[in-house]
Amino acid sequence: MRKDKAALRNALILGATIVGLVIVTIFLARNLAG
Amino acid sequence: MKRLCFLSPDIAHARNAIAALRKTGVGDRHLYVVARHGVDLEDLPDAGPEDNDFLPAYERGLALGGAGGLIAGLLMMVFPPAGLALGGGALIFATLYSAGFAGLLSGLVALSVPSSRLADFQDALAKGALLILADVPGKDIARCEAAVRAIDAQVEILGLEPPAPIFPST
Repeated sequence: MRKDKAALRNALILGATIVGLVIVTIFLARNLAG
Repeated sequence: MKRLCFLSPDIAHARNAIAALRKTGVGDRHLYVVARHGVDLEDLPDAGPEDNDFLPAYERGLALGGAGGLIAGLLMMVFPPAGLALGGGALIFATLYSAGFAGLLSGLVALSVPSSRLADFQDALAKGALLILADVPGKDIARCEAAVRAIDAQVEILGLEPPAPIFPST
């Protein structure tokens, strides 16, 4: 089912975006704390 | 590759058209059938990534969010909030953060919205028609059009160039 594949890809993109946001936030928090 | 699209009034017509396209050598992964929710496509190839507006909205969100974040970061550098000395890092942070956040939000919203690229066909789809999309190599366009017209001489075939995807399509 291509719909499932497309949904999986969308989920991967969203997941990668969230991980990126978390990394940027941690980076900023460490910089502000240090 | 050029994308041919045309409307089929019902599923039997769509099945004949898909069979004709398959006979001309168009593979299933280059065929998409879009129908309103609740229509059983049975063995026809489904809409795949054309089912919702996720990717175009995500791209728009990234671009607009990134631009907005960049402007906000520049404003923060020019008019720094009291007690904070901001450098280039803050600018990068603001750009990345707002790009990611806007992409995330617009993508999530668009998951429940029909594809904006198919907006012209929404009325027909709501009435129960099926939209058939076929990605056809340039040299085969005439052959594919003839094959579809052999099924239904009145069918209106429109060409729709697919925009270059940022992410590889499935």
